[in-house]
Amino acid sequence: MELRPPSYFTLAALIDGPVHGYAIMRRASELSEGTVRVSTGTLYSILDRVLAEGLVVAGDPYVVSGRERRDYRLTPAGRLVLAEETKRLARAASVVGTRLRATGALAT
Amino acid sequence: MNRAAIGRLVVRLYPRDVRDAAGRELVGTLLDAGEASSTAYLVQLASLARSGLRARAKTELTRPIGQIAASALCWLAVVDAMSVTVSFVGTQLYWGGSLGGSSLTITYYYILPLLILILFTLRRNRITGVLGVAWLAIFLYQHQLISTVGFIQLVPLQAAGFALLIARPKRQLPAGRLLWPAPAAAWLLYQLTLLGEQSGVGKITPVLTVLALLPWAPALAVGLALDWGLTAIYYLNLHSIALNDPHLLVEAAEFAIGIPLALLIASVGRRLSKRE
Repeated sequence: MELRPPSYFTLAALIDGPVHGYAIMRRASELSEGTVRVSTGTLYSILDRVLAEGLVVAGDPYVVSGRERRDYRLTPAGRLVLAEETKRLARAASVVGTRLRATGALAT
Repeated sequence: MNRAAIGRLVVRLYPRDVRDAAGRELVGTLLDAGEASSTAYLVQLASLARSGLRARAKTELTRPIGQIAASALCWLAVVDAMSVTVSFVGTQLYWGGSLGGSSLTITYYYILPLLILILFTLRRNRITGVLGVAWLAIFLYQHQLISTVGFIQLVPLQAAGFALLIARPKRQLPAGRLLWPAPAAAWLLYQLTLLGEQSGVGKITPVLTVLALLPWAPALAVGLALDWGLTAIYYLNLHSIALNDPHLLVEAAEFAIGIPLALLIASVGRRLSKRE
Protein backbone atom coordinates (compact mmCIF):
# COMPACT_ATOMS: atom_id res chain seq x y z
CA MET A 1 0.00 0.00 0.00
CA GLU A 2 1.49 3.29 -1.11
CA LEU A 3 0.86 6.23 1.21
CA ARG A 4 0.80 9.86 0.16
CA PRO A 5 2.94 12.20 2.30
CA PRO A 6 0.03 13.57 4.42
CA SER A 7 -1.18 10.03 5.20
CA TYR A 8 2.35 8.81 5.83
CA PHE A 9 3.14 11.58 8.31
CA THR A 10 -0.28 11.29 9.94
CA LEU A 11 0.42 7.64 10.69
CA ALA A 12 3.98 8.49 11.67
CA ALA A 13 2.64 11.00 14.19
CA LEU A 14 1.12 8.09 16.09
CA ILE A 15 4.30 6.02 16.42
CA ASP A 16 5.03 7.10 19.99
CA GLY A 17 1.52 6.52 21.28
CA PRO A 18 -2.06 7.77 21.10
CA VAL A 19 -2.61 11.47 20.39
CA HIS A 20 -5.58 13.69 19.55
CA GLY A 21 -6.33 15.44 16.25
CA TYR A 22 -4.54 18.74 16.72
CA ALA A 23 -1.49 16.98 18.22
CA ILE A 24 -1.33 14.78 15.12
CA MET A 25 -1.31 17.89 12.92
CA ARG A 26 1.59 19.44 14.88
CA ARG A 27 3.53 16.20 15.09
CA ALA A 28 3.14 15.53 11.35
CA SER A 29 4.53 18.98 10.63
CA GLU A 30 7.49 18.45 13.00
CA LEU A 31 8.33 14.99 11.62
CA SER A 32 8.27 16.25 8.05
CA GLU A 33 10.37 19.28 9.05
CA GLY A 34 7.55 21.56 7.97
CA THR A 35 7.22 20.17 4.47
CA VAL A 36 3.84 18.57 5.16
CA ARG A 37 1.13 20.59 6.85
CA VAL A 38 -2.00 18.58 7.42
CA SER A 39 -5.05 20.82 7.72
CA THR A 40 -8.09 19.98 9.83
CA GLY A 41 -10.24 18.86 6.91
CA THR A 42 -7.47 16.77 5.36
CA LEU A 43 -6.63 15.19 8.71
CA TYR A 44 -10.15 13.92 9.25
CA SER A 45 -10.41 12.64 5.67
CA ILE A 46 -7.22 10.66 6.28
CA LEU A 47 -8.39 9.46 9.70
CA ASP A 48 -11.71 8.39 8.22
CA ARG A 49 -9.89 6.26 5.66
CA VAL A 50 -7.26 4.73 7.96
CA LEU A 51 -9.92 3.97 10.58
CA ALA A 52 -11.95 2.14 7.92
CA GLU A 53 -8.83 0.23 6.84
CA GLY A 54 -8.08 -0.78 10.42
CA LEU A 55 -4.72 1.01 10.52
CA VAL A 56 -5.79 3.24 13.39
CA VAL A 57 -8.32 2.99 16.21
CA ALA A 58 -10.05 5.88 17.94
CA GLY A 59 -10.49 6.17 21.69
CA ASP A 60 -13.48 7.55 23.52
CA PRO A 61 -14.13 11.28 23.23
CA TYR A 62 -13.18 13.55 26.14
CA VAL A 63 -13.44 17.27 26.74
CA VAL A 64 -10.55 19.68 27.45
CA SER A 65 -11.33 23.37 27.98
CA GLY A 66 -14.76 22.85 26.45
CA ARG A 67 -13.33 21.25 23.30
CA GLU A 68 -14.02 17.68 22.42
CA ARG A 69 -11.05 15.49 21.59
CA ARG A 70 -10.36 11.88 20.87
CA ASP A 71 -7.06 10.04 20.88
CA TYR A 72 -6.02 7.92 17.93
CA ARG A 73 -3.73 4.93 18.16
CA LEU A 74 -1.82 2.92 15.54
CA THR A 75 -2.89 -0.72 15.27
CA PRO A 76 -0.32 -3.47 14.58
CA ALA A 77 -1.58 -3.42 10.96
CA GLY A 78 -1.03 0.33 10.81
CA ARG A 79 2.48 -0.03 12.20
CA LEU A 80 3.21 -2.71 9.60
CA VAL A 81 1.93 -0.54 6.72
CA LEU A 82 4.01 2.38 8.01
CA ALA A 83 7.10 0.17 8.24
CA GLU A 84 6.57 -1.19 4.73
CA GLU A 85 6.14 2.31 3.32
CA THR A 86 9.26 3.49 5.14
CA LYS A 87 11.26 0.61 3.62
CA ARG A 88 9.84 1.38 0.17
CA LEU A 89 10.79 5.05 0.45
CA ALA A 90 14.25 4.13 1.75
CA ARG A 91 14.79 1.71 -1.15
CA ALA A 92 13.68 4.32 -3.66
CA ALA A 93 15.91 6.97 -2.06
CA SER A 94 18.84 4.55 -2.06
CA VAL A 95 18.47 3.67 -5.75
CA VAL A 96 18.09 7.28 -6.83
CA GLY A 97 20.88 8.40 -4.47
CA THR A 98 23.27 5.84 -5.96
CA ARG A 99 22.55 7.07 -9.47
CA LEU A 100 22.93 10.71 -8.47
CA ARG A 101 26.23 10.04 -6.74
CA ALA A 102 27.45 8.17 -9.81
CA THR A 103 26.75 11.21 -11.94
CA GLY A 104 28.27 13.58 -9.37
CA ALA A 105 24.99 15.39 -8.75
CA LEU A 106 24.98 14.26 -5.11
CA ALA A 107 27.99 14.47 -2.83
CA THR A 108 29.11 11.14 -1.33
CA MET B 1 -21.30 34.65 15.84
CA ASN B 2 -18.21 33.22 17.53
CA ARG B 3 -15.65 30.86 16.06
CA ALA B 4 -17.19 27.74 17.54
CA ALA B 5 -20.62 28.62 16.14
CA ILE B 6 -19.16 29.24 12.68
CA GLY B 7 -17.29 25.95 12.97
CA ARG B 8 -20.48 24.09 13.87
CA LEU B 9 -22.17 25.66 10.88
CA VAL B 10 -19.39 24.59 8.50
CA VAL B 11 -19.37 21.08 9.97
CA ARG B 12 -22.96 20.81 8.76
CA LEU B 13 -21.49 20.48 5.26
CA TYR B 14 -20.40 16.95 6.22
CA PRO B 15 -22.82 14.04 5.76
CA ARG B 16 -24.96 13.30 8.79
CA ASP B 17 -23.14 10.11 9.80
CA VAL B 18 -19.80 11.97 9.98
CA ARG B 19 -21.39 14.82 11.93
CA ASP B 20 -22.93 12.42 14.39
CA ALA B 21 -19.70 10.50 14.86
CA ALA B 22 -17.15 13.33 14.95
CA GLY B 23 -18.90 16.69 14.58
CA ARG B 24 -17.93 18.12 17.97
CA GLU B 25 -14.42 16.78 17.68
CA LEU B 26 -14.03 18.46 14.28
CA VAL B 27 -15.04 21.79 15.82
CA GLY B 28 -12.65 21.22 18.75
CA THR B 29 -9.71 20.52 16.43
CA LEU B 30 -10.64 23.48 14.25
CA LEU B 31 -10.52 25.77 17.29
CA ASP B 32 -7.19 24.27 18.45
CA ALA B 33 -5.61 24.59 15.00
CA GLY B 34 -6.99 28.06 14.35
CA GLU B 35 -6.10 29.52 17.71
CA ALA B 36 -2.88 31.21 16.59
CA SER B 37 -4.50 33.88 14.41
CA SER B 38 -7.56 34.82 12.40
CA THR B 39 -5.76 33.78 9.21
CA ALA B 40 -4.96 30.36 10.65
CA TYR B 41 -8.58 29.96 11.68
CA LEU B 42 -9.83 30.92 8.22
CA VAL B 43 -7.39 28.54 6.53
CA GLN B 44 -8.56 25.68 8.75
CA LEU B 45 -12.19 26.65 8.25
CA ALA B 46 -11.75 26.59 4.47
CA SER B 47 -10.08 23.19 4.71
CA LEU B 48 -12.96 21.88 6.79
CA ALA B 49 -15.53 23.25 4.33
CA ARG B 50 -13.71 21.71 1.37
CA SER B 51 -13.42 18.31 3.02
CA GLY B 52 -17.03 18.44 4.21
CA LEU B 53 -18.33 19.12 0.73
CA ARG B 54 -16.09 16.44 -0.69
CA ALA B 55 -17.27 13.88 1.86
CA ARG B 56 -20.88 14.77 1.13
CA ALA B 57 -20.34 14.51 -2.63
CA LYS B 58 -18.71 11.14 -2.17
CA THR B 59 -21.61 9.86 -0.08
CA GLU B 60 -24.24 11.10 -2.49
CA LEU B 61 -22.54 10.19 -5.75
CA THR B 62 -21.79 6.61 -4.72
CA ARG B 63 -25.38 5.70 -3.88
CA PRO B 64 -26.95 2.99 -6.08
CA ILE B 65 -27.75 4.27 -9.58
CA GLY B 66 -31.33 2.98 -9.42
CA GLN B 67 -31.95 4.96 -6.26
CA ILE B 68 -30.49 8.14 -7.77
CA ALA B 69 -32.55 7.65 -10.95
CA ALA B 70 -35.82 7.05 -9.06
CA SER B 71 -35.18 10.05 -6.83
CA ALA B 72 -34.33 12.17 -9.86
CA LEU B 73 -37.72 11.31 -11.37
CA CYS B 74 -39.46 12.32 -8.13
CA TRP B 75 -37.45 15.53 -8.08
CA LEU B 76 -38.43 16.20 -11.71
CA ALA B 77 -42.10 16.01 -10.75
CA VAL B 78 -41.76 18.23 -7.67
CA VAL B 79 -39.52 20.72 -9.44
CA ASP B 80 -41.98 20.90 -12.30
CA ALA B 81 -44.73 22.04 -9.93
CA MET B 82 -42.36 24.66 -8.54
CA SER B 83 -41.23 25.74 -12.02
CA VAL B 84 -44.79 26.13 -13.28
CA THR B 85 -45.62 28.43 -10.37
CA VAL B 86 -42.41 30.41 -10.76
CA SER B 87 -42.98 30.71 -14.52
CA PHE B 88 -46.50 31.98 -13.89
CA VAL B 89 -45.38 34.51 -11.29
CA GLY B 90 -42.39 35.56 -13.40
CA THR B 91 -44.50 36.05 -16.52
CA GLN B 92 -47.14 38.03 -14.66
CA LEU B 93 -44.49 40.19 -12.99
CA TYR B 94 -42.70 40.79 -16.27
CA TRP B 95 -45.82 41.80 -18.16
CA GLY B 96 -47.52 43.53 -15.23
CA GLY B 97 -50.33 40.99 -15.19
CA SER B 98 -52.52 39.84 -12.34
CA LEU B 99 -51.15 37.33 -9.86
CA GLY B 100 -54.68 36.25 -8.97
CA GLY B 101 -57.29 34.34 -10.94
CA SER B 102 -60.12 31.85 -10.63
CA SER B 103 -60.18 29.43 -7.73
CA LEU B 104 -58.95 26.68 -10.06
CA THR B 105 -56.08 28.89 -11.24
CA ILE B 106 -55.10 29.72 -7.67
CA THR B 107 -55.31 26.06 -6.70
CA TYR B 108 -53.21 25.00 -9.69
CA TYR B 109 -50.58 27.75 -9.61
CA TYR B 110 -50.26 28.41 -5.87
CA ILE B 111 -51.96 26.13 -3.39
CA LEU B 112 -51.07 22.70 -4.74
CA PRO B 113 -47.46 23.50 -5.76
CA LEU B 114 -46.86 25.11 -2.36
CA LEU B 115 -48.31 22.12 -0.54
CA ILE B 116 -46.30 19.77 -2.74
CA LEU B 117 -43.07 21.61 -1.91
CA ILE B 118 -43.78 21.88 1.82
CA LEU B 119 -44.84 18.27 2.23
CA PHE B 120 -41.92 17.04 0.11
CA THR B 121 -39.52 19.07 2.26
CA LEU B 122 -41.08 17.46 5.34
CA ARG B 123 -40.57 14.02 3.73
CA ARG B 124 -44.29 13.31 3.51
CA ASN B 125 -43.72 11.61 0.19
CA ARG B 126 -46.93 9.67 -0.27
CA ILE B 127 -49.24 12.63 0.27
CA THR B 128 -46.92 14.72 -1.93
CA GLY B 129 -47.44 12.18 -4.71
CA VAL B 130 -51.22 12.19 -4.26
CA LEU B 131 -51.34 15.99 -4.43
CA GLY B 132 -49.05 15.88 -7.47
CA VAL B 133 -51.39 13.56 -9.31
CA ALA B 134 -54.30 15.88 -8.43
CA TRP B 135 -52.24 18.81 -9.69
CA LEU B 136 -51.63 17.04 -13.02
CA ALA B 137 -55.31 16.14 -13.26
CA ILE B 138 -56.25 19.82 -12.92
CA PHE B 139 -53.77 20.65 -15.64
CA LEU B 140 -55.25 18.09 -18.00
CA TYR B 141 -58.75 19.25 -17.15
CA GLN B 142 -57.77 22.83 -17.97
CA HIS B 143 -55.94 21.82 -21.16
CA GLN B 144 -58.15 19.23 -22.75
CA LEU B 145 -56.92 20.20 -26.22
CA ILE B 146 -53.24 19.99 -25.33
CA SER B 147 -50.91 19.14 -28.21
CA THR B 148 -48.96 15.89 -28.23
CA VAL B 149 -45.70 17.81 -27.77
CA GLY B 150 -47.11 19.73 -24.82
CA PHE B 151 -48.38 16.52 -23.30
CA ILE B 152 -44.99 14.83 -23.66
CA GLN B 153 -43.28 17.81 -22.07
CA LEU B 154 -45.64 18.24 -19.18
CA VAL B 155 -47.25 14.96 -18.19
CA PRO B 156 -45.68 11.46 -18.48
CA LEU B 157 -42.42 11.89 -16.56
CA GLN B 158 -44.08 14.10 -13.97
CA ALA B 159 -46.83 11.51 -13.48
CA ALA B 160 -44.21 8.78 -13.14
CA GLY B 161 -42.38 10.83 -10.50
CA PHE B 162 -45.51 11.44 -8.44
CA ALA B 163 -46.54 7.80 -8.84
CA LEU B 164 -43.13 6.72 -7.50
CA LEU B 165 -43.62 8.97 -4.48
CA ILE B 166 -46.90 7.19 -3.81
CA ALA B 167 -45.70 3.68 -4.52
CA ARG B 168 -42.16 3.84 -3.07
CA PRO B 169 -42.18 6.71 -0.57
CA LYS B 170 -39.14 5.43 1.31
CA ARG B 171 -36.95 5.10 -1.76
CA GLN B 172 -36.62 8.85 -2.24
CA LEU B 173 -33.17 10.13 -1.20
CA PRO B 174 -33.29 12.86 1.44
CA ALA B 175 -30.39 14.98 0.11
CA GLY B 176 -31.35 18.37 -1.24
CA ARG B 177 -34.74 18.71 0.43
CA LEU B 178 -33.84 22.15 1.70
CA LEU B 179 -32.11 23.21 -1.49
CA TRP B 180 -35.12 23.67 -3.76
CA PRO B 181 -35.28 27.46 -3.13
CA ALA B 182 -31.99 27.68 -5.09
CA PRO B 183 -33.46 26.31 -8.34
CA ALA B 184 -36.67 28.27 -7.69
CA ALA B 185 -34.65 31.49 -7.51
CA ALA B 186 -32.63 30.49 -10.58
CA TRP B 187 -35.78 29.75 -12.54
CA LEU B 188 -37.31 33.08 -11.53
CA LEU B 189 -34.14 34.86 -12.61
CA TYR B 190 -34.29 33.04 -15.90
CA GLN B 191 -37.96 33.87 -16.34
CA LEU B 192 -37.39 37.54 -15.65
CA THR B 193 -34.67 37.67 -18.29
CA LEU B 194 -36.42 35.22 -20.56
CA LEU B 195 -39.14 37.25 -22.15
CA GLY B 196 -37.61 39.43 -24.77
CA GLU B 197 -33.85 39.48 -24.36
CA GLN B 198 -32.61 36.10 -23.29
CA SER B 199 -29.04 36.91 -22.54
CA GLY B 200 -26.58 37.40 -19.74
CA VAL B 201 -26.47 35.58 -16.43
CA GLY B 202 -30.16 34.71 -16.39
CA LYS B 203 -29.86 32.75 -19.57
CA ILE B 204 -27.29 30.29 -18.30
CA THR B 205 -28.59 30.19 -14.73
CA PRO B 206 -30.55 26.93 -15.13
CA VAL B 207 -27.55 24.95 -16.37
CA LEU B 208 -25.23 26.55 -13.80
CA THR B 209 -27.69 25.68 -11.05
CA VAL B 210 -27.78 22.07 -12.12
CA LEU B 211 -23.99 21.87 -12.12
CA ALA B 212 -23.68 23.62 -8.75
CA LEU B 213 -26.15 21.25 -7.08
CA LEU B 214 -24.74 18.12 -8.64
CA PRO B 215 -22.16 17.11 -6.01
CA TRP B 216 -24.40 17.68 -2.98
CA ALA B 217 -27.69 16.40 -4.30
CA PRO B 218 -27.18 14.51 -7.58
CA ALA B 219 -30.77 13.29 -7.75
CA LEU B 220 -32.04 16.86 -7.43
CA ALA B 221 -29.57 18.06 -10.06
CA VAL B 222 -30.41 15.32 -12.54
CA GLY B 223 -34.14 15.84 -11.90
CA LEU B 224 -33.70 19.55 -12.55
CA ALA B 225 -31.69 18.91 -15.70
CA LEU B 226 -34.39 16.57 -17.00
CA ASP B 227 -37.25 18.89 -16.11
CA TRP B 228 -35.63 21.95 -17.58
CA GLY B 229 -34.33 19.88 -20.46
CA LEU B 230 -37.94 19.11 -21.34
CA THR B 231 -38.35 22.82 -22.00
CA ALA B 232 -36.19 22.17 -25.07
CA ILE B 233 -39.14 20.25 -26.53
CA TYR B 234 -41.27 23.37 -26.14
CA TYR B 235 -38.72 25.53 -27.97
CA LEU B 236 -38.22 22.97 -30.72
CA ASN B 237 -41.97 22.83 -31.24
CA LEU B 238 -42.18 26.61 -31.23
CA HIS B 239 -39.38 26.70 -33.78
CA SER B 240 -41.26 24.37 -36.08
CA ILE B 241 -44.45 26.40 -35.96
CA ALA B 242 -43.19 29.93 -35.49
CA LEU B 243 -41.09 31.51 -38.21
CA ASN B 244 -38.21 29.04 -37.95
CA ASP B 245 -36.51 31.54 -35.69
CA PRO B 246 -32.94 30.20 -35.14
CA HIS B 247 -32.87 31.72 -31.64
CA LEU B 248 -35.46 29.20 -30.60
CA LEU B 249 -33.12 26.40 -31.63
CA VAL B 250 -30.40 27.99 -29.51
CA GLU B 251 -32.82 28.13 -26.57
CA ALA B 252 -33.65 24.45 -27.06
CA ALA B 253 -29.97 23.49 -27.21
CA GLU B 254 -29.17 25.51 -24.08
CA PHE B 255 -31.82 23.69 -22.10
CA ALA B 256 -31.03 20.28 -23.51
CA ILE B 257 -27.29 20.60 -22.82
CA GLY B 258 -27.99 20.46 -19.07
CA ILE B 259 -28.99 16.80 -19.34
CA PRO B 260 -25.81 15.33 -20.89
CA LEU B 261 -23.66 17.68 -18.80
CA ALA B 262 -25.34 16.58 -15.56
CA LEU B 263 -25.12 12.90 -16.46
CA LEU B 264 -21.51 13.18 -17.59
CA ILE B 265 -20.33 15.05 -14.51
CA ALA B 266 -22.31 12.80 -12.17
CA SER B 267 -20.79 9.76 -13.82
CA VAL B 268 -17.23 11.13 -13.63
CA GLY B 269 -17.76 12.22 -10.02
CA ARG B 270 -19.11 8.79 -9.18
CA ARG B 271 -16.09 7.05 -10.64
CA LEU B 272 -13.67 9.37 -8.87
CA SER B 273 -15.49 8.97 -5.57
CA LYS B 274 -15.44 5.20 -5.82
CA ARG B 275 -11.77 5.17 -6.69
CA GLU B 276 -10.69 7.20 -3.65
